[in-house]
Order: sequence, then C-alpha cells, then structure tokens
Amino acid sequence: MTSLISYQLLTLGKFLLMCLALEGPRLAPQALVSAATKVEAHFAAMPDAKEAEWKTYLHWEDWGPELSQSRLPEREQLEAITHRFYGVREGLEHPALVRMRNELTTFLGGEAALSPQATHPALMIRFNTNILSEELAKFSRNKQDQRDTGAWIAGAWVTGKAHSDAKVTAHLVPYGDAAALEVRVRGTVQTPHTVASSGAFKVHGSATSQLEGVSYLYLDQMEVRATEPKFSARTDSSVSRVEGPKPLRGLARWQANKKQDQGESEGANLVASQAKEQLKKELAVELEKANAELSASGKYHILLQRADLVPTLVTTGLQANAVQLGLRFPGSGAEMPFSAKELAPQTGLEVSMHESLLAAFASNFVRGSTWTDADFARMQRELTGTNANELLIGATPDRWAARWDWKSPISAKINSQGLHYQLAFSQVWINNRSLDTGLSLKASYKPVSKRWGIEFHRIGDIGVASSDPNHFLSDGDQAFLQRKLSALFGETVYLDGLSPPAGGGWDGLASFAISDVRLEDSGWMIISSGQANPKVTTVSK
Amino acid sequence: MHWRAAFLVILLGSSAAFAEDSKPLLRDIYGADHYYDEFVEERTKAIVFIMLDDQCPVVKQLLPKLVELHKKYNAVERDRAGHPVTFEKYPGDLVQMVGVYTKPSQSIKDIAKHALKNRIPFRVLRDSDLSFVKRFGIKRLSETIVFSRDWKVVYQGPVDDQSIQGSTKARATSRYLEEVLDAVIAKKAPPYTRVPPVGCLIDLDQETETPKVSYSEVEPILLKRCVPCHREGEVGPMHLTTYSEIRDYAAMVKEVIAEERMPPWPVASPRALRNPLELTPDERETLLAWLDSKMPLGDYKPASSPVSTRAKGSRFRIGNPDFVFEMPEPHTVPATGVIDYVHIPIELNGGKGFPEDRWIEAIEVVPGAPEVVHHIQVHEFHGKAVGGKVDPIEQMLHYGLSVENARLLGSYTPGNVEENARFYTNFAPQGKTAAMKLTRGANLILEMHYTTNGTETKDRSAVAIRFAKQPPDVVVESWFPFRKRPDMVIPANMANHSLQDRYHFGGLTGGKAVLVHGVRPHLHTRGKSYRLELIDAKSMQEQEIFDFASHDRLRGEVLLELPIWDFNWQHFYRFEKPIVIRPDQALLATAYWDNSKFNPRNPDPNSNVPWGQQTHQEMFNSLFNYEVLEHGDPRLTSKSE
Repeated sequence: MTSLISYQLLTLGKFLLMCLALEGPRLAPQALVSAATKVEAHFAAMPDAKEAEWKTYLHWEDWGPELSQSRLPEREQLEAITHRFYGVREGLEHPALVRMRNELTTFLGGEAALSPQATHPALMIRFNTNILSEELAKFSRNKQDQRDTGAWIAGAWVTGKAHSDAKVTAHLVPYGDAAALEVRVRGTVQTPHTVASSGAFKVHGSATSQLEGVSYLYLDQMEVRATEPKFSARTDSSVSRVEGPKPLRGLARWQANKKQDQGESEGANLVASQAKEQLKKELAVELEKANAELSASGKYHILLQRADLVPTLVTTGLQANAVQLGLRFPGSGAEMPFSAKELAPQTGLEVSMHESLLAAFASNFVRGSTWTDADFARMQRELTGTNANELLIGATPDRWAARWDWKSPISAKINSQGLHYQLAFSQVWINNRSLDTGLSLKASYKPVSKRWGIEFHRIGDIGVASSDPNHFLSDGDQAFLQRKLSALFGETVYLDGLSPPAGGGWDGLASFAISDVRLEDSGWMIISSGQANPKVTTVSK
Repeated sequence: MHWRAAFLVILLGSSAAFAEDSKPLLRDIYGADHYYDEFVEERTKAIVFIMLDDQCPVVKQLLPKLVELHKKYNAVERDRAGHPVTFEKYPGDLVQMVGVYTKPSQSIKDIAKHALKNRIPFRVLRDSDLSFVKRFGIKRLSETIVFSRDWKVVYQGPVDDQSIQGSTKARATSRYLEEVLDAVIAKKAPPYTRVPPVGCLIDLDQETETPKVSYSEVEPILLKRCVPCHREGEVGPMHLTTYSEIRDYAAMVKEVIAEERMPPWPVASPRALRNPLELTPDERETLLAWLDSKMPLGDYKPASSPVSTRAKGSRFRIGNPDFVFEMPEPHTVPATGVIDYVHIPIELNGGKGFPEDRWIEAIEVVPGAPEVVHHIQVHEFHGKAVGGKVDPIEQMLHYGLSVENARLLGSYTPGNVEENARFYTNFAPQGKTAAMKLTRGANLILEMHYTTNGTETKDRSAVAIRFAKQPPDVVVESWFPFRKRPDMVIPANMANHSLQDRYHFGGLTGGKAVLVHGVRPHLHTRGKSYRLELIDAKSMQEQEIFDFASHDRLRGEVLLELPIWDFNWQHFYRFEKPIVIRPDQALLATAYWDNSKFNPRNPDPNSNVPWGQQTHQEMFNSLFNYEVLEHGDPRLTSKSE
C-alpha cells in the first residue's frame, strides 16, 4: 500500500513537473508586444548602421525580439532598460519609441505610481511687472497717417484728405483668471475738408472722429492668440458750403443737414471698421512674430518630449506686481495651489519648484540604471566643477557601483527646515561584490546666502542604510559607503558647474544671479533673481 | 648712519621733481615702460624697490622674507569668489613692493620666470639702462629703497642684518625694512634712514666687447626663426628677409630678441617641448652679438630662401588630404581696430557631417590671408551657429553642461610649422598608428583671431584633413576642463589674484592611467602667468583649491610654466616625451591675474571681473590631448614617458 501511495505521489509529482515544463515562458501583455512590434518596424526602416546603433543603445537583442514574439523577458531586464527611453538622444521622440516607453512604464509600475493625481502646477515662473512694463513701453507708439479717402456715406460719395493720429499702448491686465496683454488704440481722424458729391451737388464740410479700440493677447497653451478687436468711434461733422445749381442749393443744404446725423453715424462706423482692420493686420504680424519665437523653442519641446517632461500650462495670471505662468510636468504636481506673494520690488524673476518636481525631473533618467563611481564622479564634476577626493576614480583601488531603484529612485521633501532628499538603490556592489541588500541614502540641505550668491549646506550627516529593514550592512560596508557617499553629498554644495559655459548663447545666463532662496513648509522652493543682496528665508506654515 | 648722510639722502629724495624725460624708467614683463614713481595706489602708504637677481646668494636668502613681508602688509581676507572681504572695491596694496633686476643678460622673460618659480607675489621690473640704480646711488643687489607716498626717500639699505658681507648670521637681529614700514604706516619717524647695503655688487659699467659675428652666421637663424612670419604675405608686421630690411629695424629686432619677446614662446617648461619656437641660447647670443657689433656683412653670399614647408606636389604639408574644407564665405577683416574672436562654422557633407566616425591621422590648418590671421583653432562642432553664436542646447547635448567634452582637432599659429600641420600618427609609439576621432554627424567650427594690418583684407581659411583607412591603435582624446565658477571674480585693482583647478582623469577613463601629450592653457587679457604641476591626487583636499593663501605652494613636479601669459600667443604645448598620469596622480593648474592699473594689457582695472566668454571677462581652463593607457601598458612603468 505504502509503495502504491508512493508510486501515485511520484506519478503526480512527475505530472506536475510536466505541467510546469509545459507551461513554458510567460506570455507578455499584448500592449507590450504590439509596442515592440512597432519598434521592430521602426528599426527595420532605418539604414543598417543606424539600426545597429539603436539596437546597441537599447540592448534590444536581449529583450526586444523575445517581446515581439509575445514572450515576457525578465522583469529586472525591463527595469534596467526603461531609463534608456528617457534622455536627450535624438530620435527618442519617435512615436514608436515613445509608445514602447509608455507601455514599459505602465507595465512595470503602473501609471498611477508614476503620475500623481495632483493637478496643481509644480513649477511657477513669475516675472515682475516692472520689468515687463519696461518692455511693454517699447510696444507703445504714436501713429500718424494722412491719406485721401473716399466712401459712400448717407447716399453721397464723400472724399477728403484724412489725418489720423493714434496712440497704441499695451498693458498687462487680468483676463478672467488669467493674464493678458491689453492692446488699446486711442486716436482722432480729422478730415478738415470733405466733399460729399451727390448728383449735381457738392457739399463741402469737415469731420472729426474720435476712436477707441482694444484687443487682448493671451496665451492658449503654447500659442499666443488675440481677441477680435473691438472699436468704437464718434464722428462730428459740419457743413460749410454747397455747390450746385443755384436755385436748389438751399434745398441741398437742408438735405445735407438732415442727413448729418446719419452721415456721422456711418462715418464713425467706417472709421471704426477701418481702424479694426488695420489693428488686426498689425496684430497678425505681432502674433506671427511671437508664435515664431515660441515655435523656435520647439527643439526644447522635443528634448522635454524625449524625457517625458512635456509641461502642461496650467495657469497664467496677474497678481499685484507679477505675471505668472504655472506649469505641471508628468509625474509631478502640487496638491494645493501655489500661494503667491507680492514680489520684492528688486526681484525680476522668481522660479518656484514644488518638491514633486525635483524628484520627477531626475527620476526618469536614472530609474533602473546602474551607475558606477565614475558616473557619480562625472555628475559631481558637471554640477560642482570639481571632484571630492573620494571621487577621484582610480586614486584608490576600491570601486563601487549602485543600481537605482526602479519605482522611486529619488524622492524629495521640502519644508522650512531644509531640502530633504532620499535616494534609493536596489543593488550595490563594492569591488564587484554584490551586497545582499538595497540601499537608501538620505541627505538634507539648507540654502545659505553669501555675498556671491547661494550655497547649500548639509544638515548633519548623510544617512546610509540598508533598504531592507531585516538586513543590516556590515560595519565595513557601512563605513565604506558612508565615506564615498559623504563625498558625493558634501558638506557644502556650490553648483559651480552649472554656471554658463563658454562658446555660445548660454552667456546670456551670466546675468542671471540667484539672489534669494526660500523654503516653505508647503513643499515649495522659491528662487529669486535680480536682487542686489542675497538673503535666505524660511517660512513656516 | 651719520645724520649728515641721512640729511643728504632725504634732501636728494625730496628733490625728486625730475623732468619727465630724465625720470628713470623701468620695464615690466610685458615690455611696457613705467616711470618708477607710477607705483602708487589709493591705499598705498609706502613703496619699496628691492634689487633682485637669480644668482646672488644674498638675494636668494631674502626671497622668502620678502614674500612674507608682502603678505604681512597686503594680504586680505577673501571670500570664496576671491573678493576682498573688507573692501567693496580693493583700493590697492598698502605697501607697494617692486622687484628690480639689473643683469644685462637677463631678459624680461628670465625675470618673469624667476618671479613665477620663486612665487614672488609682487611686480618685477627690469632697469634696462640702470637709470634707476644710478639715480638713487644703489650699489648692491638685495638693497632696498623705500619711498613715502609723496615719493620722498624714507630708507635705503638692506632688508635686515642677517647677511653680512661674505657670511650669514643664524638669524637677523634688526629687521630694518619691516621696522621702517611699520613706522611709515603708523605715521611715525622711521627708525632707520640709511644702512650700508650687503650683497653682490651691481655692475654699473656693462660695456663688453662683443665677439665678431658675420651675416653669413646669422642668416640661417633668421631664416629659421624670424622669416617664416616676417615676410611678404605673412602675419609678421615687418619683413626681415634681407640684410637691408633687418638693418632698418635693427634696434627693434635687438630689443625683442634681448627681451625674449620674439619669437613668441612665452613658456618655460622643465619638461622638453616639441618644436619650440624660441631661440636656443647660442642662437640668441649669436644674433645679439651681431646686432651689437654693427651688423657686419662679412663675406656674405646670398643663401636660398626659407626651406619650403610643403610636401612635394601638394599645397599642404600633410601631403594630399582627403578633404579640404574652406570657410563658406570670405571673412572681411577691417583695416584697423581690434577684433574679438570670430566663430565660423564649416559644414561637412551638407551640414549633416559624415555618417560614421572618422579617424583624423593628419590635419593642417591653412590661413587664407596669413597677414591678418593671428591664430585659428579648429573644433568639432555639433549644431548650428548663427552670427558666431553656437546653439546652447546642441552644445549641451554634445559637450555636456560644463562643455568639457569640447574637442580641439587642430590649430594654426604663425610660425608654428609643426603644430599647424599636426600628424596624429606621430602621437603613437613606434610601429603603432594613432588618430583623433571626428565624430559622426559633426561639423567643424573655426575660432578665428584676426589682427588688422592697415588694409581691409578678405580671409578664407581652410582645413585639410587626411583620414586613416583603419581605426587606429591609439586614440588621441581631447579634454577641456574649466574652472568654472559663477562666483569667480578677479577683484578690481588686485595685482596677483590666483585660481586653481585640479584635473583628474579617472572620471573620464574609469580609473585608468593616461598619457598626456600636450596642453593649451587659456586665460584672457588680464592673465599674468600659469603653472601646471603633476601631483599626488590625494595630497590635497578639494577645499584647498579654494584656499587662495595656499596657491603659491608647490605640491608636485612642475611640468609647464607660462611666466608671461600672453593672450595673443595661445600655443598648444606638446611634450617631447608625453607625461604618464597614473590614476593616483592629477594635474594641478594655477593661474595668476594682474587686474591692477599697472598691467598695460588690462582693459579696466576698476572692474571686478567675472567669469565669462568675452575677452573683457575672464576664463581659466586647460585643454589636454591624451590617450588612455590600459592596465599593463609598458609605458606605465617607463620613466622616459
């Protein structure tokens, strides 16, 4: 009996094993397969060299063909590759690659995990209206014109030399909840000698029209639009003499006087209509220029598209002395609207970043990727212009590397106490030895003002710990990582490397000097520029 | 000192109302002359002239003391940007210290070398005609003369009493100079007015018999060193191709050779450099002897014209290039004025660049109008340039935020025949091939420095390239690190401001060693000098780079010094034997700026000069050509490299 049971169990075991073997590789979701097929087709349309280059960049052969054939590659492999779809590489904006990126991201983390539901802006840019007013003052102009006119008015053909004198001004105004540029035209059209011809009669006189019109220019997403100009005019006229057959002149004058009101009304409409057409023409030129400038920023848009950081314009607005733009980026957003305060008079530009933005901006570039100490050293040199001794790669034989966590590699918290970063690594190697646990790194900084600008001072030590609460780092590993990462996140950070580089347009940024950094408990870091003496303030709730 | 003598000295000093033309002139390291009584600034209380020399043992012993005295009176606390903390605008040195050299054989370059080598922080000048020492009766090296702000002689004599004629005491017991300066600053009577000097005698009669040299002996030197630039169609301002042409400018030729201003080679390198432009000591002596001895023609027979530098059958030295890229349009150089750098893009393959990486084995940069082309730098270029402005986004994508990945491919400097036609193949060891990469998709951009010559001229310069057929054994890399600080300031009126940067190649190579072939330092017009050291990377902490007080400290082996920074002559200096930099080593660059009114090249001493690309701003960077050495490369252990 026992042997029978044993036999049956053995048979059952074999059957289960067979079933497992029959189960084969896991099937990939259709959305992923479809995206991979599109990428295959995109590659196939490329010249061979280009195709090879892309496949190398994406490590395509390791996972792409498998996915195209509906087999699901290892999750870890997909996590390690996804960050390569975000970046500055030309071509990443191609729809096939964007789709693949989105499908991978959704599959690995779910959209909800990556894109918080918060809908308020995460980036606020505010300009001082004083500065803009100076610019707008250039827009204001006086226009004089003189022309021969001819039009049917009150049943007569009226001619005359018209002298127009108009002033065009531009002001920032509230426009509903947003801000707009109000372009206003005020002017006078004088026709000192009009001749109204009707049959054998000519009525001589004069006319003066007062006109006023307005149009509003506003930003609709990334396009500048103008409202239909609205004009009003009032015309006053007088009759001086009448030419024509003598016996009927009196009658003709009586007729002219009778139709004067009608003529004035029609004349005013005519003046308003002509002024409106003229302004429309001029605004069309201005809009074309403005939108051309916006289009010229298309290359920046492509860069953002590649990195999945295309902003949505959430708000524009006009406060007491500031015009503001509010933007939200994928993966970021504030839960509460930004509470704007009046700009300090000497502040020209204020940029406010929500804590969610600080994390979102960098996360896509790193999630799932493995960085060696050389990568960290390069990043430090790029940002700070120099390397700490611990990041002189090769100066000591010790080497290390870390793999960024896929889901939440960087998180940031801002309050009045400081800017608090947490970096997460799913795997760490020291001298090619993999540690048994992931790593979490915490560092906090506060901005400190100096005569030359702002520097960031670390608050206390960095916190290096195992990301697994049940696992502790050995003392040696702990000390090693503490030393290396303390060099990476130094006691003082100057961000020297971000100063304008040589060789081109970035020199324009040389005049951009950070003058004030504020941290608020609501999660905002507010950076001002244009102030003579820098200062740092923190604001509690 | 006897009171009568003191009275006499004071009397002499107070009668310093010389006519301008009889007032002693002193020459600075740039070749500009200064009246001795120019050296006073807003804050100055006293002016000290010290007679210096590179050999006199008394002077040698004195130098560290002078450095300390300079620090005592003039050191100011500076913030991280370099701005003096206690002044909104630096009002100049409290005690102006001026070193004066008198030896006839010393060129101004020698003087500048001596000052940089000994980290002398104050101004050094040359009393070329000994008018200064004669005017004030100075007899010995190391002697000092102290003036009050109103140019009355306050003290004349030694710095202290440590040196006695022929011997030295263990320590000084009377610190004459320091005590005098303390008294002057405190508005008290100086405790000493005259003390007999100690030190080597200054030779006041410098007439010597010059050896007889004939024109036949100097002509080959002239043909090799001077004529390549000073001839028809070249940038040299006067022609020096015939005896009579040289005779016309003999005084000028003598001056610039004696002072080592020509040929332009403002470098002093302990490590031998390839293709030095400077005269050898023998050549210099021969030329000066000939110029001093009334330029005898002797039994001269006309020699051939300068040796052609072109390959046979080709207009280029690199032979027949695969590609010649010309500027798309001629650039018009006006007749007069000073022209800032011009950036001219050259499109390759219709602006798309080559579809694949290519390997440059030789590159030659040929000026279209050499008479107005001062120098050309050829960089790899990605993106568009409109009106000489490079698209910043494109630049960031290819060169990084810091632009450190910018790549210099070749260059042209007048007279630098070897580097103008650069054979990267020569960078490889025997039996190997070497080349520099031209990245796929790249175009070229020419950084043009033009000079005006009185005639409006059109230039259409060209770049000729020979590509290797195969990828090379050795890839020559380029690195362009910046000391880039938003807070960098060269403070107004500061005569000896310094900055440092440490270049470690490990981040580029993943911790491997490199072989550095050459370097091109870059500063702007206020630059004074530059030094490059090979150091133990971990021997200094990062924060020490920002410690201004420690910049004078030598930390390793000096590889290269530019004692007189000359914005006009920015050479690429290539080491005869390339330098191995191990992963535990780094290069340390130190640069000095003179933003005082006494720097004749300073466009505005009253401005606090920020970092910036324009020449009226300042930059500090070094461009390296290097190759990566793999582990086990025999050159890692070879001392000769």
